[in-house]
Amino acid sequence: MSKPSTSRTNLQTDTGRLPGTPNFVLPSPTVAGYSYLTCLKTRLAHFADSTMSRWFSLVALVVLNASAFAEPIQTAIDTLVDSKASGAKLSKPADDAELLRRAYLDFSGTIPSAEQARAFFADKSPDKRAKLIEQLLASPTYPKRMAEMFHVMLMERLGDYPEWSAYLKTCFEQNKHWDAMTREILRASSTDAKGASFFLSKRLENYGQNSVDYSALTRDIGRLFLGKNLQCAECHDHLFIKDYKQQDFKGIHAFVQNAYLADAKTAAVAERPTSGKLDYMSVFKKVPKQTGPSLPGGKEFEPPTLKKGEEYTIKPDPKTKTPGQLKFSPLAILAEELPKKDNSDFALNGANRIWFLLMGRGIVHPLDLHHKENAASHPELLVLLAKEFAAHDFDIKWLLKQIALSQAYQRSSEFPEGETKVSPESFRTAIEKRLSAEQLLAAMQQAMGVKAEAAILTKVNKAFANAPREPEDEINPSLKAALFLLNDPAVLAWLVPSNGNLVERLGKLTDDKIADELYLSVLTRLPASDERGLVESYLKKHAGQREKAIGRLAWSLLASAEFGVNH
Amino acid sequence: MPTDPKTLLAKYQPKAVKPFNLDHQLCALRYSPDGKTLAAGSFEASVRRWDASANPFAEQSALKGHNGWVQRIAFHPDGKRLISADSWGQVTCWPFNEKDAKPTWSVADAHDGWVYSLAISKDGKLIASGGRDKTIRLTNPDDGKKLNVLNVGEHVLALAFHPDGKSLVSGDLKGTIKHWDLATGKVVRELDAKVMFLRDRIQDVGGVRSLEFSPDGATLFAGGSLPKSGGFVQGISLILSFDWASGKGTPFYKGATDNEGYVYDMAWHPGGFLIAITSGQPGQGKLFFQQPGDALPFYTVAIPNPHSLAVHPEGKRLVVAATNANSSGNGRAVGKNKEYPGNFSPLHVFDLPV
Amino acid sequence: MLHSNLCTPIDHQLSRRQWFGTAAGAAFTVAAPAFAETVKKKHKQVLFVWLDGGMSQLESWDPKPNTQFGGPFRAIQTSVPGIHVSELLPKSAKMMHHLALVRSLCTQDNSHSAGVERIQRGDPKNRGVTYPFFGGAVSKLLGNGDSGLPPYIWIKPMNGGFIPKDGGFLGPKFGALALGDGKPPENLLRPATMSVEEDLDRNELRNLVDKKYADRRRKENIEATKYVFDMAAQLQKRRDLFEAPFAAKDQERYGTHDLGRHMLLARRMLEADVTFVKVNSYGWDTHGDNFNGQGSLVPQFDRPFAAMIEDLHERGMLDNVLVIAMSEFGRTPRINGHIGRDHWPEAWSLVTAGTGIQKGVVVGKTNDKGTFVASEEHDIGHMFHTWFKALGIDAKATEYDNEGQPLPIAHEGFKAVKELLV
Repeated sequence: MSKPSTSRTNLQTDTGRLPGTPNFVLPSPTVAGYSYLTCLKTRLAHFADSTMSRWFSLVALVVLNASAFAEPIQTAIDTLVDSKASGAKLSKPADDAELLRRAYLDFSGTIPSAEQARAFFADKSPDKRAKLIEQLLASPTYPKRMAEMFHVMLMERLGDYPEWSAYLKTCFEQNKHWDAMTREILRASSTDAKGASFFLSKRLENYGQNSVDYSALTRDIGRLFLGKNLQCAECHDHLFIKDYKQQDFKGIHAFVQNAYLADAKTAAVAERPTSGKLDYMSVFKKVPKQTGPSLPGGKEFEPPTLKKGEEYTIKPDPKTKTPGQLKFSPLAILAEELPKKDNSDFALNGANRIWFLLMGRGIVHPLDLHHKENAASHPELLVLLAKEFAAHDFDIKWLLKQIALSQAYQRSSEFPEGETKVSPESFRTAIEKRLSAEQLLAAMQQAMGVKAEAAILTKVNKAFANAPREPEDEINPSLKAALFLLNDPAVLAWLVPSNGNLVERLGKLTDDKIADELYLSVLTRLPASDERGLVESYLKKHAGQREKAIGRLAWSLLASAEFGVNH
Repeated sequence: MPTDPKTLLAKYQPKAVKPFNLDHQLCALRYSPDGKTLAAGSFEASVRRWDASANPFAEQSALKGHNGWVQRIAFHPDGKRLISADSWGQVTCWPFNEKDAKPTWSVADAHDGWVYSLAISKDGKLIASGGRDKTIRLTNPDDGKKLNVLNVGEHVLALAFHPDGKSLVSGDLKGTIKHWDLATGKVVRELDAKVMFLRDRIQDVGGVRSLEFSPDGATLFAGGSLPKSGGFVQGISLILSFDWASGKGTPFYKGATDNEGYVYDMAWHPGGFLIAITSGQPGQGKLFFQQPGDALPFYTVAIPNPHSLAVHPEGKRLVVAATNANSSGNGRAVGKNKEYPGNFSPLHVFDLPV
Repeated sequence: MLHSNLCTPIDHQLSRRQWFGTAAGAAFTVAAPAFAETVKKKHKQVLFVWLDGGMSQLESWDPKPNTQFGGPFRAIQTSVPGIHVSELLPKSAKMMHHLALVRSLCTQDNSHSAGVERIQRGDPKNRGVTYPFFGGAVSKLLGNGDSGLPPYIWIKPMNGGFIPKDGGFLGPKFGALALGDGKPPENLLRPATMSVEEDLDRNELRNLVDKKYADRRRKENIEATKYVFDMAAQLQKRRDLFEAPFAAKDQERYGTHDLGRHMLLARRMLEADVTFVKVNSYGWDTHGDNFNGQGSLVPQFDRPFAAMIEDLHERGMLDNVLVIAMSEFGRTPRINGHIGRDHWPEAWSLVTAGTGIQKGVVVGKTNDKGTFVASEEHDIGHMFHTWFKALGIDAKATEYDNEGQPLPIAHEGFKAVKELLV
């Protein structure tokens, strides 16, 4: 077995316990010729090496004792976040308004109506927040929202495909687990899980005279499923990140280099036969090397030498465009191997990305730079979440719920009393999250009481979505967005009373009732007294042009930063 | 009379003879009318010539006096004179059979700049040269004097005289083929090869690169490409065949991929078929034989980077001037003696059964 | 004195805003300056023409006619005795007495994807941060002019939008406002049915909401939001820059092709005192059919470039504007099998002119065959030092402050090229 080039955190063993103690667990041998001793030596070497182990030696064992983790994960999150804060102040819990809006946006992809807000504020039950989370997770809006979110995360605005969106939606309707999803996406079968192949098929297209960008595909697999951006390890070992080796890049590349787009219309992906290892060489050290398909820190798979014509168990048929079945299919192996429980990269990346979706920042950040020198903000928390995520068979909904029930998630985004600067990675204060174009459009429609046509989604995408391959993980006010809000005829049309929209409803109210209804509808909160005062005096001032005044008031909230982010 | 491809191939199957290498890159290659001399224009301001009756070809002294690239050469039908044209605008006449041939005449400013195309009428009375200066110069072959200047309005990339001597056709960068009446010096009609032109971003790409009449003058073949993009230029090789009487053009040959590039040169084989070469992305290149009326060539062979071809007047031999394989690459590639290497021209020789 | 199309008669208020967070709220109006006065302004500017893909130095600034690799074109004289350029640059040849050629560029990267960024970022020593593009750097160091417009405007074919990444570690504020095909951003104009007062009014309301929201929260979001809304307002104010037609004579001189139109718009932006104007032309990567390719492209650069130099000179603007035209590398002397030239960072050229730059000179040279630099080699770091110096910034004495981390503005292993500077 070739020595893994990168150290993988062994989630089974990295609990802080020293080897030799009863709970030291080795993964079961999976490779012929596997040597227990070799593995033990390797594991120990990496264990001793890893930042994790250094961290463990510093933290009180009681925190990491397995029995301490009998407490629910949602509590463990707070224990670990709070203890890392070491006495620094935490922001107060989010008030009802803040939490309601945040939860709706996170799980339903839109904001609640004014009535829903009123009802939640009026509810006196002590467990209403937990009930809210439950209710949102069970709502039909949950799968739609999650599908959109994963679409943006996995496709990064490279393109759309109805069957892919439908596939994602079905996954979340059925609560398909992340390993099963990964398996289907990477297998890109043309018979099962229709639509899942789009992740690969889109990246196997070529544009104009450019050939298929296998490098980008390799990078994306590393980034999105393993949390490792191997871009600068394609031609040599990464110059600054010691953990990222050229072998890592080439090993993944060897999985996908023979995949090709069989049919763009049906997003069909096929593979040419792989007949041998991939040759490569560093541009600095001109030593010829070879690799079969392999994952970082993982086993290398040897392509068998097969005679021409004997590579298939079922030959492909170009007439019917069926891809056939290869005896040695790297994609099949990739799909099997990558989401395995013992692939800590997979678990860590999954847990980290799901944490990011709710918390606004990864425990490792950026999300695709897991390596020794990029320390996690809360290493033991990440390991715990990854371990539990794996133990729960990568159940996405379960992990989301755990995080959502924690105090860390339900914290306010306002600074603690007396503070003006809080580092985001401490999670002492909730992080304002970017709203996707999809969330914004849904929220705008809900707020303004309108139904937008498909053309508006295109405009909103242009204004608020990133360019392809630019992860939407940061708030980035853009000129396009500002101009859209300021001058787009569609937006301005919403401010004209019609069809029971917000401004029409408001127009029917007396001046003193408008502020509440306006703020609840758009910002999901009641106005402060000075805000009420401002609204009333503004309406009085522009009494002659009441309709337009209401429109401007509504616009000012719609175009505000408060509306435009998820706080 | 069309013959079936298998018969044609059996009859004309070429046999490759060992190629020989010329140290300079060549852009034009032609046989003299008696087939005894082979000459080529080079990238280095010279005309190279060989005694083609020797085996292997015996090189004679190069003809010097040009500047830039000797883009085109043409043998006068009288078998005594060779006309050459260069990229600085000079057209020169050589008594090529003489050992130390000196120019019979030379016009330094026949054009303002690059002479892209050159043709001599079948009766030997007219030389036509086409330039980057967007004109055609009609020249007296005896003294080099200007007989007429025709304004084309676009870069004149290809020229051909009709065998009957009454007409001249020019092919330009924008894909227009103009039929000139030589008596009046006027355009009598235009043939449409505009598919061979593409405006990509701000680049003018493509054009009509080669023109060849069938010996009976009934068909005009125009060689170029269907350009897909500029920059490093992608284009699907294309030959259009125009019925001279009606002026109607139809695709005669179309390549498979857009790596294949331009149809740089064409020649008629006395056996009654067209020989052509295409060259595009480095390493790509084809030589093929195709009979008029057929949809596909009956013979194709891959040759990397061919640029010009010469057919022996009796059709028994064919020579293709090309650039060597492995000719491209970014950045510093220094040769054995630390010198920066230029590319060279293999000349691929084929013997055809006659 | 030339009449500028920019002097619109109505109360043309130039409201000066501080883009970078200092002197918040400081705003004053300045009446549109008389044209003669604009000539005297001290604010330095840059025109950066980017020929993407690699212009061939052998078919432009450093011809080697009649040599092994010289290609088919001739060399022509210029307005400076002893300096020759390719016949493909006839108009620029006549402007040579304003220009400086650098023929000794020797840089590190022969790929587009990395090369473009490295050149435009000045290829500094790696510090673990992403350096800004030259435009972002100049915007930061020179600040905004009187235009009220963003300091870094990029005129390019195809799509536009705000490109924050050009700002590098300086932050998104120093990114480029890209005008796709020279057009104003979509939704630029306030609808006709809305008055200026209403527009100001609604934005005032919005600002109040934002201020309250940001009170106990991180300031960055609000600042970035304010920035883009301010930019929108400023662009709206300067709509004349996009709407006013160009003189037919100018359109003819610059050419109506993309690069011609974009250069003409660039002149207008420079006249409006925009600090850094970048103009892009794509498609120069002539690996195949190089001689017809460059033969088509170079004259289409020559025409608007020469017109621009002429116009800047006539307006006295060459005293304040630094002009640069370049690519990410040159092209191989060796001619490949597609009658093309490949990438050649080993020995290539650029042209520069304007404020602080010597006039009518050639700096550096290549050997007879044009294969390698025969004089001192210059990397892009040398050029950045030189250009900063020309703009009045001493790159050795100036540093960025990246949240406490001091960073050199140009590669500290290099220095300014004295022969290029006045």
